[in-house]
Amino acid sequence: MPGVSREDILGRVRAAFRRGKVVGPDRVDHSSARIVADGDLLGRFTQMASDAGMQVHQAADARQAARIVADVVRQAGARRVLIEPGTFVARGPIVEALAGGDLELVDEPSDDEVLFSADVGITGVCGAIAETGSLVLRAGPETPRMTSLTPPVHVALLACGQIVPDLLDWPALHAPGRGLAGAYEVLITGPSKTADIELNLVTGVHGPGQVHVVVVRDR
Amino acid sequence: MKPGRFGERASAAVQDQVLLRALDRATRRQHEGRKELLAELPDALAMRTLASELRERALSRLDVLLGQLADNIERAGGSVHWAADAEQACQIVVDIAGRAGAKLIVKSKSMLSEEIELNDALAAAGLETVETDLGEYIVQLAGQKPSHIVGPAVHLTTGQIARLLQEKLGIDYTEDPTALTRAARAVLREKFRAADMGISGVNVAVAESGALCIVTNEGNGRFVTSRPPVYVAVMGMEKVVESMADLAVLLKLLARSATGQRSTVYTNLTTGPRGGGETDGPREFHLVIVDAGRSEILGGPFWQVLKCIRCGACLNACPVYRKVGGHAYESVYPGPIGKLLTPLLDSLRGRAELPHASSLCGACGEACPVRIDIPHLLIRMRRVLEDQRYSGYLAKMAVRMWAWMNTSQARYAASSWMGRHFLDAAATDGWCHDLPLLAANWTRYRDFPAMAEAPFHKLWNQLQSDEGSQSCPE
Amino acid sequence: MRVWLFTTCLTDMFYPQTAAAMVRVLRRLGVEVDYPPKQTCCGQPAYNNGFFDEARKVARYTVEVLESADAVVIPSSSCCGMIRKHYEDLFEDEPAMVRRARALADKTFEFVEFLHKRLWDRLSNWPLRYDGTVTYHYSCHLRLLDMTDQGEQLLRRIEGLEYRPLAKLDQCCGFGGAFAFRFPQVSAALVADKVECIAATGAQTVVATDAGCVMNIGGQCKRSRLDVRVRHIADLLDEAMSNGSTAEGVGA
Repeated sequence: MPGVSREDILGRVRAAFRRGKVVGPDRVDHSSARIVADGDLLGRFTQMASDAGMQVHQAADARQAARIVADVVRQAGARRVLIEPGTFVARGPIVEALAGGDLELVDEPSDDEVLFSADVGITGVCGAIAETGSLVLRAGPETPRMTSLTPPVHVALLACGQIVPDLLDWPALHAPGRGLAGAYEVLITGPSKTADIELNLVTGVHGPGQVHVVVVRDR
Repeated sequence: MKPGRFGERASAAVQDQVLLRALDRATRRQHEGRKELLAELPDALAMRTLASELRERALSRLDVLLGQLADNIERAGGSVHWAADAEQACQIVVDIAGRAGAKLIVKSKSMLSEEIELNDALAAAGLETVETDLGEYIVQLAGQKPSHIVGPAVHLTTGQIARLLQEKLGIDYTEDPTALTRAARAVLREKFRAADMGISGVNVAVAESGALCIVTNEGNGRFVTSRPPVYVAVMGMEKVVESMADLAVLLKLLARSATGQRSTVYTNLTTGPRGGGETDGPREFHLVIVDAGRSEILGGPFWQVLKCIRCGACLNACPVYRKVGGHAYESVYPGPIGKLLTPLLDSLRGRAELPHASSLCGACGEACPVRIDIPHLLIRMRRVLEDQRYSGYLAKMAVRMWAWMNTSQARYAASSWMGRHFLDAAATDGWCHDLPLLAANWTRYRDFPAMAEAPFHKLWNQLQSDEGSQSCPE
Repeated sequence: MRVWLFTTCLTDMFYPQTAAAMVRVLRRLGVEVDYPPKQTCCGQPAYNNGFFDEARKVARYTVEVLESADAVVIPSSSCCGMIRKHYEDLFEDEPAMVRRARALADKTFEFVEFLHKRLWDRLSNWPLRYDGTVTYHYSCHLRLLDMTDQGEQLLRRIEGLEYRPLAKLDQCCGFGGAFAFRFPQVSAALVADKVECIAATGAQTVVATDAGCVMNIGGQCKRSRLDVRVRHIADLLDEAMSNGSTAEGVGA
């Protein structure tokens, strides 16, 4: 087996400590890094998310949210829409609004063809962060990783009460002490983009080029 | 003074007008962006100091944190491997690929993988490895090395990229960046679909949660960590912090410092293979922790360089980097931090030119989000080199002589008198156009002033009697 | 208020008029200025290049020359930075010298810094006049002292002065001491860039805060035949105060 043992590497670290002069503080106080403590979280989230290139829509309730989603889907000219199987705000009304017609609504892609040919992916979120305008998505049995990644348009449903103030509040969305409530989580702050070609901004490189956030205000 | 490799390459680079324009635009845009966004923070200096402290704390407890990280990953069903050097690290990854029967590998950007030359090892093992970060993919197609930590293709123009993609992908020539990106996207999508293994670096690992944080703007990091059945992360052993709160602080600074954004588009956090019940995600999760010279650095006077989170802010701030670009450094790590890292990881004597290739302007230290005092460390490194007589005995004697001249007013006055006469002889109208020896390096490009008719130390008494005031005691 | 002048070796030899200008400015503002005649050099050239033993000899000498001052004022942020920040580094193995170096550091100021911290009010009562277009380049070491903006603030106070901001203001001019000789093409590229930015402002004068920058930028302007005056801020301020006082009839 190539490589060495854990003890070998940790031993080298301890030997380095004996040789050298590495010092660090006993404690670190993170509070000076807080940027947002309270206030108009929805307003802040909306501002930051829009700055980052996401389209933020505000819905008074689940019914209005469903109408907005149906509009987005229609404007995208979508034929095939992925919707994650798990519960999320306004899911029921959305399914109702999209059912019928020649739109194919898929909650479990049967194969890669379906996954990679979907036009829109609809998901909930496990939270959102006002400071940066980020969505927090957590992978799980009913929240596959790919739904928000492969389609060129991602629509995320967010309940107003899910918004936390600051990145420092992100760990609080998890199980206490562990810091991660599953194998995978992603913060999404905008459409996929690059400036690698002479600083020209291009969106939709590998991930979605359009991200719509529908905030349901009465939740 | 004979120029070394860096000197020669730098001289060539500053003649390249195309490169100069590209570098100037890219670095200044990111540099100005960084300043703007840091100005938004309630107290940027306090946050940078906090980031510095949490990195120092992590390094001071590195053995504990690495152990904790490994335990948590193993608890989550992942495997942790330990590599003493680059060769072992590559062997580990090749073996993982072999056991998994992997043939096609997709990679998300990793500086460490460049350092250990992983792509070469994978190719030697008959594996196809595709870089999926657009800039890295372009550079890979061109058969070049990346020239900047964050924007690997910053040295190429749109025209050059257009020609490259036309040649390699068979598309029509176009200078429309969107069209070029779409072409690359289509190719890479097929690779994501078919890949057997994904490899990425790690921006920061969090010990308390056993989680690896990988940030990208494009989304390739998400595919690489989640799509292929086998996922391998390679990480320098210094890249770990204690807590999620530590990670949050670093994330606040990372994108702002690197590219002038409040946040990168995707911040992935992952531990272990697909969780119970997940329908996608890797079935195998591997972390390869790599030493490759880091424990040596940790035990020495330059351990502070291990705080580095590879944001590239120092590159964007550096006037030298702005003029010569990354390739002149012939190193995985260019720019100011590279001037320290490269001699430390590679060879101090062999790369001694690098720590001297700085005007010590301090822009890097000011830009660094974790407050590595790069100028101070550069001077320290120069000291180590001179203790080994890097500049030779003649230089040492000259500097000794200089010190002798400057520890007595009479000797100082005599030397300034001699200097004045020497320069006078070479000057016309108060300027020298053509000085000999080392001074020719100056006058080749610009004039050098003659000294004043009388130095201030001779004028003082005159000034005093004009003004009628007291002098200092002798 | 009583200060000692540390001219720095470059200013002493190449720009003595700058030191004289500094003396006049300070005296007009009611400061007693003395000049310890034994001064030579702060030791930075040796320190920057890793010759610590030699730098230490010169630094020790300079501490002895200056330490009895009430305050020391220096027309160069690089030399000021050397004394303020790096002397402790040089003497790290000698606690007694560290104490002496620290005591000296506590009372050592760069020229603009001293104006800003001790004389700003007095200066604002002095009429300043300078007719012309001026741009400003600050020395990199002012970053160390957190004093990069004060020079501009000062220039903007001057009647009749049309201030033209410099593009790429925070980019080094390329001097860097030994750097200009070790890496001449890069240094030349940087000073050429700086002078292009200066030319682009159309200003008649560029004001700098360090003799090294003045030599470097001045030499480039000369070689490229750019008709721009390169002056230290002390020289311009001296002229502005002198113009101001004659205009208002205030005693010099």
